[in-house]
Amino acid sequence: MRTGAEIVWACLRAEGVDTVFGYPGGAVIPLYDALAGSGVRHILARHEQGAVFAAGGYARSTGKVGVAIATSGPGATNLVTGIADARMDSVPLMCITGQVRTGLIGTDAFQETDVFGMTLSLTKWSRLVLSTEEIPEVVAEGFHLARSGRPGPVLLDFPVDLLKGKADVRIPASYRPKPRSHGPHSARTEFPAAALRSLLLSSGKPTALVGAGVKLAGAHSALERLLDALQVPTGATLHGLGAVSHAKPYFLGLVGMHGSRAANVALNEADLLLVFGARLDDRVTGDPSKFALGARIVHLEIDPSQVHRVRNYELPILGDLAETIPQFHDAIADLRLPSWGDWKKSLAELRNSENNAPGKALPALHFFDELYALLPENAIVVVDVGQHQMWAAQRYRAHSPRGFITSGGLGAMGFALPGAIGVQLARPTALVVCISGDGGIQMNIQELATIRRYGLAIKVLILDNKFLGMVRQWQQLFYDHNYAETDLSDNPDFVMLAGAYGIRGRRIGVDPSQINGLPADTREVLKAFLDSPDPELLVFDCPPEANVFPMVPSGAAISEMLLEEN
Amino acid sequence: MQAANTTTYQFEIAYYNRQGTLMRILGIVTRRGLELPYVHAETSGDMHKVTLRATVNPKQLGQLCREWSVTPDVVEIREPIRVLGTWNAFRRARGKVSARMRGLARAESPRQPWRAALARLFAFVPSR
Repeated sequence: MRTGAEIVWACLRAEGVDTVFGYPGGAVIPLYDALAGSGVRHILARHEQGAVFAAGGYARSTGKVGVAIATSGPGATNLVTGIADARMDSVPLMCITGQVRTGLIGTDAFQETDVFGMTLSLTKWSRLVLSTEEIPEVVAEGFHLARSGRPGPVLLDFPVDLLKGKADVRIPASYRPKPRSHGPHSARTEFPAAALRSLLLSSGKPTALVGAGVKLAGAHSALERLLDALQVPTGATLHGLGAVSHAKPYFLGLVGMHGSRAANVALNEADLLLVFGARLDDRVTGDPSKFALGARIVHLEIDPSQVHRVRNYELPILGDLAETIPQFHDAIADLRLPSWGDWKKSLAELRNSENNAPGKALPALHFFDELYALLPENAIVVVDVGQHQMWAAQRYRAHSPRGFITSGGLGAMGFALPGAIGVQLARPTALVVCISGDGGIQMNIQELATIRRYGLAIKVLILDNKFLGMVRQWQQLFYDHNYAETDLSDNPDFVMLAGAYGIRGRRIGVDPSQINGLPADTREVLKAFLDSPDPELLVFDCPPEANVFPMVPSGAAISEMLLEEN
Repeated sequence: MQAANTTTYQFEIAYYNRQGTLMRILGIVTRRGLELPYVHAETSGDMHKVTLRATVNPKQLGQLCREWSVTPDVVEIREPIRVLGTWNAFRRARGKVSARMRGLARAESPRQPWRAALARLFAFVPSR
């Protein structure tokens, strides 16, 4: 006979879990009581949101299911942002929450919340566990659902009496889903090779778009081989970055709201759009009613709910990209493809003449160039949300499928610091750089204590412009400079704050006398920062009113890019 | 008031009646701010079936069906049936069908089973 808590840990081990992130509380004390000897490493965050973002970072950097634990009530509600983040970015996540004992459920008991109900629209699947005996089955089913198909978050809510109760149960070696219990399975159809070939041969302006699905499927190598064969102009979404090398002559960079002009023009003027694992959200398409109006769309996607989002596509190809991309390649293997010379030439010219007129952002852009030039191949940058995120994405040049990690869909400020903790624990030999802004870092700054506690050599970089920069940019451009409540000029001294957590801090500013706007010793400072075997924090005092360009105003077509302030 | 370019559909979805599945099905409608004027869930063999109505535009119609199709424990989504009348249209036409309305009013009284009333109310509308 084992307690429910012991069964939970045994089930986690059976699923291959070696690390979990959590924060104890009354309803999960039995779980923590059984932690010792479970064989699972528990990482104590300093806030449940830190724990769930760390679990998300762990999952994003490995593809494995990240596990977060929180108590009932406020502990559970603090997980919600991380669950939403995982949902939007297809992150396999298992959230385990404690619940008040079964007899008290529904009585508004102390620290009772209906976390099952409140996360129904965010989770892929969830369960309020009602007997100790069913724990093995629901844990196995939860893990199966979190990692299968389009990955996503799952929540299991355990009343405390179930964790204390005993049962004689067998942990299944593997989980077998019930027939048709996880969504209707579309009939397997033949790959539409003929239609695809016909579309390609009749196209004069083909463009490929690479999204996160390629990386989630582990299909980046297959895709690169396909694109090498196709040689079509290619752009990447924020989460698609790193899947295709920037060195490829056909690669045009980031698409969307702050994408490169060449990539956006290619997307919008294409007559054939090959979409690989991207859901064509509004940050990519701009106004969907004006998006790629002349294009026929071929959409390779695992999630049927994501096709036909903008309009009815000519050729949706549903399935795992690890299978459909090689099938695509086979379909065109013997095809004499057009050269699309004029189309490619016009885009190459656009790319080469790209002048974003960065203005006050010049030092920030050069700062990222300096940083990226020093990063080794195994480096992983974990980026927060805001202007620095877009600069970091625009200048990213590494070819590393899981090297650029950020909260893209939800855009959750505060993700980067705990996210980097999860990444570093999952990839202990990698150099992990957390890039955050002065707003985002303060949303989970308590996790500096977690970094210190576990001696993680994470490099924390803060771009401090003393503003909520992206909101301020919108206020400047679209709200007549009305900087309402975005001034953060009373920020704390982040270097001193790092010191209080036992982490060395440094600071670097701008130097207007230099061509690139950076002090002459920038490279040395960055090198010392990155080479340190300890956790480090570096503050880059960024020009306060620097803006990110190009920019597609919200609701505009992506052809309506702003290239500079004037 | 029905928005332009919208049509009322009746949807039938078969699902395994496990925790939250019905709420997930309904939530896919309500998250779009759509109203659910009619929802009826019942057992159907070893599964359950929910019949619901919503007034949607063509884009929403596709979105709903696709999102339901990837909801765990949803087994089948029948082809939506276009509903040619609505509750409101029915009420506006009250004068012309007063006899029927009187019948319904009686049916809706506590003495009459609500289920029979609903069945009579919606009996006239389904049409492909």
